This record gives sequence, structure tokens and C-alpha cells, in this order.
Amino acid sequence: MEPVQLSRATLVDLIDRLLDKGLVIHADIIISVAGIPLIGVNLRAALAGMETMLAYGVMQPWDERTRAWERERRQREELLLKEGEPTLLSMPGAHYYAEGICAAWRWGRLYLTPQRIVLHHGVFNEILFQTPLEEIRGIALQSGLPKRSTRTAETSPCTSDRIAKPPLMSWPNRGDTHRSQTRELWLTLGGGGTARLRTRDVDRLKEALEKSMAERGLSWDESPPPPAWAEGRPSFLAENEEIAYEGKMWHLMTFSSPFELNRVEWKPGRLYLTDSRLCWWYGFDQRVAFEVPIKKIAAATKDMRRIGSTYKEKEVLDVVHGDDGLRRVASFSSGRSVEVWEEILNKIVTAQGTKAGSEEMETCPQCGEEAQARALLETGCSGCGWTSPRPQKSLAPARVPPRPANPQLDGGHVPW
Amino acid sequence: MREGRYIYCVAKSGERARLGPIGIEGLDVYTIPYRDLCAVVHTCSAEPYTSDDDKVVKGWILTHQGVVEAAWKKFGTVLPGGFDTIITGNESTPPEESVRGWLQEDYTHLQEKIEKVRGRAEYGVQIFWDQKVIARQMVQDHKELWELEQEISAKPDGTAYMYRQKLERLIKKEMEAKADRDFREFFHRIKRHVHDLRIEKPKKVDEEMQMVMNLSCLVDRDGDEELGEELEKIHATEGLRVRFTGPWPPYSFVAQG
Repeated sequence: MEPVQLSRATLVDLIDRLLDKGLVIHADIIISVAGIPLIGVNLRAALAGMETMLAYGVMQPWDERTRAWERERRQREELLLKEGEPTLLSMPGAHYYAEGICAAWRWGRLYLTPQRIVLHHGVFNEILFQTPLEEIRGIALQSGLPKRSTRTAETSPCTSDRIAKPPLMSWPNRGDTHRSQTRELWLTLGGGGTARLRTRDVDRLKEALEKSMAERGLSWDESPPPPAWAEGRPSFLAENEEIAYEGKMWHLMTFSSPFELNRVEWKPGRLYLTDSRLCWWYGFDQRVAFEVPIKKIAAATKDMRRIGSTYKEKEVLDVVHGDDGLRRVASFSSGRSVEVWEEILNKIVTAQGTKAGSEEMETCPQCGEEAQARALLETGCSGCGWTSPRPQKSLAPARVPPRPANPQLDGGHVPW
Repeated sequence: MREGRYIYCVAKSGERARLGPIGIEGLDVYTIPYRDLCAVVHTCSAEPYTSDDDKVVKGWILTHQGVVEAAWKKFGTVLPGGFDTIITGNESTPPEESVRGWLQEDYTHLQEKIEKVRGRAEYGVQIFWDQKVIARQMVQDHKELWELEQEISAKPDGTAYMYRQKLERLIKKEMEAKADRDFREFFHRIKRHVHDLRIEKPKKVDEEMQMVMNLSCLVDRDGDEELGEELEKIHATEGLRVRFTGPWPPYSFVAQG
């Protein structure tokens, strides 16, 4: 078949091209661009057979479909991938996105090319994740989150608050309903991060990825060290923030509503002591519900109190914090770990006192004898036997002496 | 009256050349070069060409095409501009400088496009159905449609009308399904022989022939044989017609990206 050109019969083709197409000039010096409505419209109206056949109706949905299909194809193959970038592998997949307190598996289509791995969301034409192959330092298969003893040792790092919410889409389990069996491909990246990818056939993805990396002459670590967050690093921590101590803790939370002023309730969560702050993660709301810079911690005391509706008294850790002017108490409770926390927090308080070089003195409210504030608070007055009244209500500004300091108690070492 | 430059195309040539009085309304066409590119222009006032007379506009369009063709022949590779693209200047920049500034600013982009279309041309491929023939095929190929049609002749008028309506609906549905299948099949068959293609909106031509596919294909300038052979096969199928036009300057492949 020979193409025909520029007879009268092809004027229509020509008009189509000249009015709707051609070079688009993006410049503010242009006074009119191709297909300027005035000309286009009046010309179109004048010419017979120029209206599209879509008015005919029959083929409308079909036309829409084919065009949508073509758009999709174009998006996938052209907008997403650079010219000359072949797709080595393409499969549905997901990337675990965790930033701030947002954490979720994001689904799209995974493409492996000789240059990179891309996860693309077709409908929104959005790249959910991508990395050049050069950036991949380690490749490892993981069975979901690594199993850890999260129950036994409270002092060991634990991920219970960090475990991903289940993906919105149902994961093809093939009869195996145990979620921890879901295997993931973990990529250690040059920037220090680790990307977690899921797809139906992780083995195939791994194989293809390793093959193309090898072809590019790139090397990788087959058993990269687990990333920090896999060791239980919570998402709300700042980049360089280090956890000194953490554990499960109940916290007496305050809720304000128009109907009840300052309702208080014990809620389960997790307490973290980092090198900059003490904070409590409320898993139910996925947020940090309490935090105080360590500099503002004035004291930590242990008390026996009734919690909730039970008659049995439990150990409660009262953390006194705030500025000298306004002190507040935050109450925590958790079995036996209260004692450990009290000790650690007081070491911090002491260390800070030492650093500041100040020895705050206080007078006994009963006999007026001067004593070291901390000793007075902790053991009571050596002269008259007065002991500090424990804070009765957690919400009341603490009637506790100002920041205690006693270099003699600085026995242990604190990590800052 | 401010001056402007009417842009016919950008060509792969750094030469300052005159193409003669071949422009719209017989104006002199010449080039404004920047490095190894040039804009093919004529001098005009900074106002778009408009006319109520479609004969006049058709004449302009043919002339525009004629100039692009001439530049294409002379310089080898062109990025054709659409009709009525005029660049103007401002107080500090004369129009010629504006054009050069645009070439300079867009240089990389333009070069990329040049590379994409170098040695290639655009061909139009339009595939039509003869509606009657295809509808007949549908009835013959689908047992239930065939049976339904047989039944109709045995029914009294009123019922037959309802049946005919039903049959038409079913045929329409089958035709759409076939259009889907055909579209994909043709698309893949054609795709093998082209560097790139664009799917255009089908046009209504007449009642009998329905355009089911309208493509612009980017093909090697003298490599249209393969594509032609493929189209010949489609053309030879009963109920199908193919219209094959070109070579066109690559209008459809210079707009985006």
C-alpha cells in the first residue's frame, strides 16, 4: 500500500495537523499559538466532515476506553521510563512508607530496568519509590518483620508500637494466613535507609535485581546489617536521636472535652528516654502524647497508688518536670520497671545538677532546717523526721521542691 | 503596528538562508539561525491571521504546509510549527532577537526533538469499517444472534419490532467488543513497524464507513514499505478499509516532551 499525499482528499488530514499540533512554543513573547480558538473554530465549522464521529454515540464508550488504555500504556512506557530504558521486570508491588507517624504499605507497579527500581502508581501517575541500582548496597530477603522477644524482656528494644498496620489490600497468602510469613525484599541504600518491598514473587524480583546489578558490575552485601528501625526505632524520633531506655508504660492521660474538664484516664503506651527527651507514645492514637526535654525533668519519685478501679495498689512513677515556676507531674505505671525508671531518671537529674555545678538547698517545711533539696525530698528531714508528701493528684502543679542536685548520688553513669 | 515573526518550523541548520517569496500572502521566507538550528519565518505584523472565509484559511494552511515542506527538503530535519504561531518582540527586544532568544532558551529541548524525528516522517493511518458488512459478520459468527434473527421473521409485526431492537442492541454490543479486539490487534501489528505513534480521535466520515482507528505514525523517511505491507493485509480483510497518508512533516511528534 502506498501512502497518498496532498491531494484535495488529504486537506482534512493537513488541517488536523496544522491546527492541533506542531511545535508548542513556551514563551511570553508569543502572540498566538497553534489552533487559536478563533481560527480553529470558524475553520472547523466551515469544513464538512470535520466534527468527530463521537456525536454518533455508538462508539463513544469504546473510544473512551481505547484512549484511556492508550494513555495508560503511554504513561507506563513513556512518561515513567526514559527513552531507551527497557523494562526487565514488571509486577504489582508495594513499598513500606514510614515518615513521621504515617506508616503504610503503598501499592503500585514495580518496574526493574537496567538503571533503577521504580514503584509507580498508575492511576495517579505517581512514583511511590525509586532508587538507582548504584544506590543499593545490600539485598536481603526477610520474613516480614524479624521475630523478636517482645514480651519477655522489657528492657530490650521492641517493635510492638512500630509494627506496620496491615496493608489495605489483602495480601495473597495462598492459604498461609500467618502474616509474619510474608516475605519482603529489603534493600539497604547508599543514603543509609532501608527500603522494604513486597511483591507476589520476591524471589523472582531478587533474582532479576541481582542479575542486572551483576551485569552493571555493581556489588552488594548479601546479608546487610539490619537497619536501626528494625531494631525497634520508633518513627517519631529525630534522625540523630538515640534511645537510652524504653519500655511499656501506662500513663495517666488528660483529656479535655467541652463536657468534662480534664478527664484523666490511664492508657497503655510506651515510654522512651532518648538523649534529648522523655516521651510517651500512645499507640492507639499513633502519636506522642507526652514529652518533656530531659533538661526539664526535675525529679522522679515512686509511689504506691491505686490505679483505675482495682483495690490493689500499684507502683506509680511520678515524673516532676517543668520550670521552677510551674511544675507538673506526669504519672506512669508498669509493674516492676517503675523502680528501674526512677533510678535512671534520677541519675539524669543528678547528672544535670552536677553539670550545672549548683547544689540547691532547701529548708524543711516543718522545722526550717536547711538540707540538700534532694535528700530532703527523698529521705525526709534528718532533724525532725518530716517526709515529703507525695503528689496526690497528678494534675496539680507539683508541690515539690525545685530541682534537686546532689553530686554524692552521682554514682552511675548516664549516656550524655 | 508592532512587528512579529510568523514561525513555520525549526530546522536543523545554522545557516542564514532565503527561501524566496513562498510564504503566506507571498511573503519572503527566511531563516533566523542560532547555533546549528534555525527558525523558518516571515516578517509580519504582531497579529494572528484570521479570516471568515474558509477558502482563504485553507489557502493559508496549504501555504504553511508548502513552506514547511520546502524547508524539510532543503534542511533535512524540521520541527513543524502549528498554523498561526507568531513571535513578537517588546520595547527592549526586537522580534528577531525574541526568536533567537527562544531558540537559545529551548535549545536542548529542541535538539532532543530534532534527534527524535531526524530521518523520519509522519504517516497517517486510518482504519474504517463498513458497518453493514461488520454487522452481518456479527450475526453470522454468533449463534444466538443468528437464531434471534431467524425468530424475528416468524413473529407478528409488533413483537418483531421489539425483537429487532433487541437484536440491534446485541449486535452493537458485539461490535464494540470486536472493535476493542481489532483495535488492540491492529495497534500491535502496526506498532512493530513504527518508531512511535499517536492515537488520534476517530472522525465521522460517512454513515457507511466508520473510522475505528486513527493513528499518526513516526516512520523512517523511506521505510514506509513495511508498514504499507502490513496495512495492505488489513485493507484486504472483508469489511475493512485503510487510508494511508504521508509522508508528513512530523507534526504529531514535536508537541510534547
